[in-house]
Amino acid sequence: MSSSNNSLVDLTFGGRSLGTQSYIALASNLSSPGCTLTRLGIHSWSVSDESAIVFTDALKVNKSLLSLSLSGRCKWQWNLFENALCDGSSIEATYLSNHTLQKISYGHSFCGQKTSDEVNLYLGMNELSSTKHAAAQLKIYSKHFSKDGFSMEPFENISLKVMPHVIAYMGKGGVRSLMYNFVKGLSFICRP
Amino acid sequence: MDGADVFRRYVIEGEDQGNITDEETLALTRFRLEQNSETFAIKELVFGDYVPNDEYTPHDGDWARDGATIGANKYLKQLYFGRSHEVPEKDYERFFRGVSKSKSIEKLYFERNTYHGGKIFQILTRLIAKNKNFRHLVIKDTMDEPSAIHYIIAMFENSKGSTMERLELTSTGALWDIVDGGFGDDETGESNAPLINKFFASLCGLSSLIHLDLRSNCIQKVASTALASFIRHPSCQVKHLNIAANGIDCESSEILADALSEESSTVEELIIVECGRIKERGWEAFTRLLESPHCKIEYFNCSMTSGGDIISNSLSTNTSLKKLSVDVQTDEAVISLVIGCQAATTHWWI
Repeated sequence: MSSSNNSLVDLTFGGRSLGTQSYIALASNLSSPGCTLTRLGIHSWSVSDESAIVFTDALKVNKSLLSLSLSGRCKWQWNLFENALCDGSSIEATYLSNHTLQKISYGHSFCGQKTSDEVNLYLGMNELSSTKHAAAQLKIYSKHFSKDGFSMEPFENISLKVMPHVIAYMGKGGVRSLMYNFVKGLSFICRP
Repeated sequence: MDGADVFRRYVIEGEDQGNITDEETLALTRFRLEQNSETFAIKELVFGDYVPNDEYTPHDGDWARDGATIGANKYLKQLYFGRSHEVPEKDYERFFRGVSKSKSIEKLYFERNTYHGGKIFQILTRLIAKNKNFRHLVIKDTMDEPSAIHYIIAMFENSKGSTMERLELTSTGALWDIVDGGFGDDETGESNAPLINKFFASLCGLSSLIHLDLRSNCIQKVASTALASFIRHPSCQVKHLNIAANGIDCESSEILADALSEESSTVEELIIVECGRIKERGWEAFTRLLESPHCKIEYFNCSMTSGGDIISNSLSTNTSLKKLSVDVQTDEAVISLVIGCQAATTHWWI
């Protein structure tokens, strides 16, 4: 690719709604490890479900974007953004979610549509965590261990060799009740 | 009205300020200014009835007293004066004669004012030239006082060595005595050419100027030529240039883009929003600017124009842009733009 401008950090699109091909091109840029954009504005956010999926899938792996500014008139696909910020399908998927994006601002046209508490929660975790690793850890605790009581299910098939690392990882979070429940649950896993 | 008593009631005893009268507001403001101490300091003061936040200081007509108090005050940083139609000419001058002695004011803001011929700018030359804290002058939506521009030019000519960093002269049509506003079209611009040239030449003395905002001034061939000369002047240090909503045409675009393409240009931020007359030839000139090896433009905003699609093609050869705002009409333009700013690496790890 004969590209050269790697210094662009802030890009805003106005005018007409972007088409599917535009979103595919943007997704290609966002998912590139060389992406330098830290702020992206789309002032005519009106996307098909297909484009929204392409865009949020790219957002999931993007490691540069801090702020996203959107305005437009369309149904707001909160679940896709939530999934990009914290994919709860497995611990690994959560770990591999976006821990960089800190802010999504919405234009006036979005007024009246209820914002997603979950999206705001994950954006806050990204912003307030000292490292991306810490943000990932918070999301893992939040998504997999704090709802409906503590479950040892994710650890059932884990190798004993790996267990010390898991214990160390759990300990780093500083959540005592989590460690307590984990140690308590070990007897369930380790019983003959 | 005893200002100290008003201060005691509303500030010390916490009486509800929602009930404060205009008379008490004025007494309180005067009391705080006259104390001239950090404890009572007022940083920002607004007079007039057309101001950004609608929080202005009512007045009883004793402008000379307040001008003198403001001039002596060591803590006031910003003075706003919006729509001063009710202030008589002599009072207006007395007020600014006092204000001109200020050594603390950093920003003066005039909006929708009638200048009674503009002598206040002659008076304010002292503040612009001598006050080493002064940074920012705003003259916005001026009313019908064409002679004022001569005083403004003289003020700049006599302010060499000023510390002013920001100058906003927006919607100044009335100053140029042109009904359509601003520097005028090709016909009226020609007749005003000597004055327009003199205006831009006067800016050359403001060596600290880095923000120049000339929105809504109908910049055409004469004004763009004069502005281009200013950009090329060795003393011009302007980094932020806003020429939005100026109806710039193709020829003016080429004149400005050529000046901005030169190595000597210091402009890093260019805003040409809402310029609908640029057309294809004009956008090609701005594209050449962005492709120039000397281009220093880091922020380019051409939103609300038709230039996005043409500009998008220049990104692959531009190395200076950090921030870009465009309206695009086609997917091809987005793809071209995205490819232009995409890094070569294609591998990804997590």
